[in-house]
Amino acid sequence: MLKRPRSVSPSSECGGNFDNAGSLSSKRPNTWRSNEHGAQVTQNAKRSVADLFPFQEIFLRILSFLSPNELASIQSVDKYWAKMSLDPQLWKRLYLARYPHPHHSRLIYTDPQSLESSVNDANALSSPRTPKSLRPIARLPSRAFPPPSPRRSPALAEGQLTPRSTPSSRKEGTGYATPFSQRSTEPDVGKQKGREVDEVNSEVGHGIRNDGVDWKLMLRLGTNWSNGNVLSQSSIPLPPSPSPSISSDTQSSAIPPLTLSPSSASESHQTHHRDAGISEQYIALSPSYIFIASPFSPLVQVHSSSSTSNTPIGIIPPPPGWSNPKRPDNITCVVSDQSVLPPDDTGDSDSDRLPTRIAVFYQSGGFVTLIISPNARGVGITWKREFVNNPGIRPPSLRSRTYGVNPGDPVVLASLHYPVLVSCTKEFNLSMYSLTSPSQVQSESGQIRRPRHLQTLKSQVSFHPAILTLFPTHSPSSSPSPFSAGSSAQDEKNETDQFKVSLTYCTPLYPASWTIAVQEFSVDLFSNNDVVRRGESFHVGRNDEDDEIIWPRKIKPLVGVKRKAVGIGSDGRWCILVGDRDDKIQVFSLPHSHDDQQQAAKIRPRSHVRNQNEQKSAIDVADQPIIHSQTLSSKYHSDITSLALHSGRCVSSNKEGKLLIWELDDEEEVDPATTSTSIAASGKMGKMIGYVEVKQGGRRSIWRGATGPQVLEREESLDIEGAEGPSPSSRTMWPHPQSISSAARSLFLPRPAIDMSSVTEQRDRERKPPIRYLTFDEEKIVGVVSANTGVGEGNGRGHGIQEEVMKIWNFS
Amino acid sequence: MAEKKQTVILQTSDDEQFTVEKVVAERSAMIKSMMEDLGDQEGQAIPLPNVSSSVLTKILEYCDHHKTEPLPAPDANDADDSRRKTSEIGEWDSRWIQVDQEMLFEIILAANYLDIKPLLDVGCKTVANMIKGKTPEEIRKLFNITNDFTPEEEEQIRKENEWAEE
Repeated sequence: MLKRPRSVSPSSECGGNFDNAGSLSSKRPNTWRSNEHGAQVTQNAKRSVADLFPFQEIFLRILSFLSPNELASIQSVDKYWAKMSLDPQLWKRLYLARYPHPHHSRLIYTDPQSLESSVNDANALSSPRTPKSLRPIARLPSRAFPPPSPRRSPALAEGQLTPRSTPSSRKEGTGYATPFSQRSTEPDVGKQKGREVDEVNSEVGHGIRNDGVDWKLMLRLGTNWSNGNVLSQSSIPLPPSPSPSISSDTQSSAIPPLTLSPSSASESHQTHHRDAGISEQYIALSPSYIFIASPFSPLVQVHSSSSTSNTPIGIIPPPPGWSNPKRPDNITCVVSDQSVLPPDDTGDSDSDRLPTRIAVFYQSGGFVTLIISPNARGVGITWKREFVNNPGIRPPSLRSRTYGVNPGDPVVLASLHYPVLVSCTKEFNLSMYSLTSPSQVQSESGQIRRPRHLQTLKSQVSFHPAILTLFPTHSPSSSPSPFSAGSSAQDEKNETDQFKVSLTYCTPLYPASWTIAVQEFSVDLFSNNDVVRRGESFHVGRNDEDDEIIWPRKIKPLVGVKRKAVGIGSDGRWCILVGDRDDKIQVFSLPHSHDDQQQAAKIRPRSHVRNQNEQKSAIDVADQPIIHSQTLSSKYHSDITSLALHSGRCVSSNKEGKLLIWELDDEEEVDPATTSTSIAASGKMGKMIGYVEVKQGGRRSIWRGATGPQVLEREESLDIEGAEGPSPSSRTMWPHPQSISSAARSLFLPRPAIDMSSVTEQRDRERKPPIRYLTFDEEKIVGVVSANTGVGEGNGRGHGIQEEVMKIWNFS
Repeated sequence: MAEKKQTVILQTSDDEQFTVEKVVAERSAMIKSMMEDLGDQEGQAIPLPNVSSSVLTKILEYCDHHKTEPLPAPDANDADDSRRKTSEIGEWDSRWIQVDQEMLFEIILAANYLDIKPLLDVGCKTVANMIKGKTPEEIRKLFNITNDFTPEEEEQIRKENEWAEE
């Protein structure tokens, strides 16, 4: 059918600028030709493939067939290649390919439209479609997230924040359709120090190609976590805790200093004497800062999470009048906001550091929330009190007449997810506050607002919760697929007004000693009608009808830990539990999580009438027990000394000072279709959860290509690491509990005061563990480490005084 | 009307006219939409001012070979990564694409212009395979690119990307 050409003549037009949408140019075929920039391709020159590279959209398509390390490698070809290789969409595709099922709260979802636009979608490249601003739902590495979203924080949204990537100024025909777009005038990649990735990205990814996320950084972080490859380690000396004698002096004052030892009051004194070398610290992490507070000080020290400087970059005092040298109003709890706070653009500050919000609780019962932001010079911080709850003021609610928060009943647990703040005192007064004041006045007026008290719940019988978690429910984060287009404006709106409070307890389990239980509350912030409802409580059970714990019955014992718990963690989907002198981590899956996922998959877009859904899910969930899903054991048969869990990622340290990372969600990567349902059905993990050891230059496995991890490779690499198979659960734990009732109430007073070796008789036999306390976020792990033993140097048999330092393992 | 009309006339930049089977020409989303626009104007040649006859001949060869395959959905989202999981090129395609660099250049440009996604992918994969596994220096040599980085900048980039090295 083809008609043979009579002559072959080179097409002189080929070097011109094609409009990238074929249909577009086809309608006006005369416009494509004129482009002076294409003049480099002359008619006579023999053209080669290299002449394709100026066509950015074609070049990007070529680059999209490269693997991450190839893409990283070509960055040093020349500046133009560097610029192109940093294109966010290329990295986004690689990230999503490698981590197809990102952990619940870890992925950032953009507007569905911009998700559709991909590397090769020529239409998307040229279409004047405006990408909606990003919707952050997780705490992200600060630098992964350059352009802020104004939506998240109502308080700041009024300030007309404009994301820097707003392509409003972008005209059709510019951007990626233009070959030779001022190659020489682009900012040079290498010239800036440190922040160059961001700079270049915002430059490269203009318009629709930049959705506001540094996907390369995300991939780098993910890879480093997967490999356990810590890029830098630094130590910050902890402020020395005053000696117990000083603190006991203050006991003469009206308010006794809080002793946060997890033992009873009489024991606590001994504890402090014994622990003179141990610095009790509260550590709160935010993307840019680390907040440290000592229970013997009213000051919060602020450290930059990236700098290695030993000196704090800022110190936050309590509000005036709260504290004086005679009667210090010491800090009892510090938490940082889990939601994302967009940068204050007016400050034009160092974009490396995001502002953050923290809540600080004082011994007097008062608390303050503050916004911390980098100061103008970019070196220090400025802080501004946002809400102040004066000590001793009874919350103006009906219930509070009965259950007021006593001064002197300090808050020991708290969780903040703007705009909800939940606190739990030592006496188990669970208070919930809303940080949205009825009048949304800017606090610039100097008027310091008071948090709106929602409710205080009191329990006199329960065990004190070990963990208090707060997370938004029905957020788009529960969507199982990043590509689900169902997230609507309603979802977005509701994301901020429905929260779930989850209290995780250690409960005595006869005869297996200790296991976990969860009690949930829901907090709905509807306009002018806030509801706090008691949710479901969950207990560990088996997945059959026999989940009643009736003794004595000859049934398989429920999984628990002997002795007391050393570490316990919960992230809303998983609970982890480790007993004292135990080298295994027990993983439990909470029933509602899978339910949530399935629900999210099924009903989407979700109606904004939430109550129905919620009740339905509650009914579905009510009968389901917490299911023990896995016992994690490493090749080190070494007692676990501390533990942290966040977004499906578990970090543990053992007595040898090894730091291990477990990805509890890893199996999802294997077979998302079947596992999610089978897990929901059985609660069992499909396979052994792997771990990696944190070390510098760690390489668990090489790149597994864009297809995501292969099961086989994973298992091989586990072999290399010397991991064991699933630990035999044959070691039935059947000890009799020792004095459950007396110890129970005091055992689980929370972090970080949990002295991991606080069993009194232990103190002479054993030194304190090399890593005593762990917490982490997306970018880093922070632990309290015995300085002179060092990590990885064996059994911690150091000599002399064991000073503790805060050690930071940074993955970015 | 469309049923009767089985062929379409394409006019190249050098004023060649090609009479092409409609199913073959429809491989090009651009031609397809143009045919729809033109409707039943029979005998009307579709101008392809960006494509020379030699390139069009080569491309029509490809289209002819693939004419039985289902067309990709018009709004097919390239985010579906199934087809790019592998950088392998089909056997026939890889033989077909064995051309000199100039022709490869022309083919890719024309595929882009004509909006033939699979063909564009074949071309881009071919170029990507030229890049793969090469050091930056080799790439520079291959494509005659001048290194405009200072050694310090280069070192910094290398350090920055250490994590991705195997």
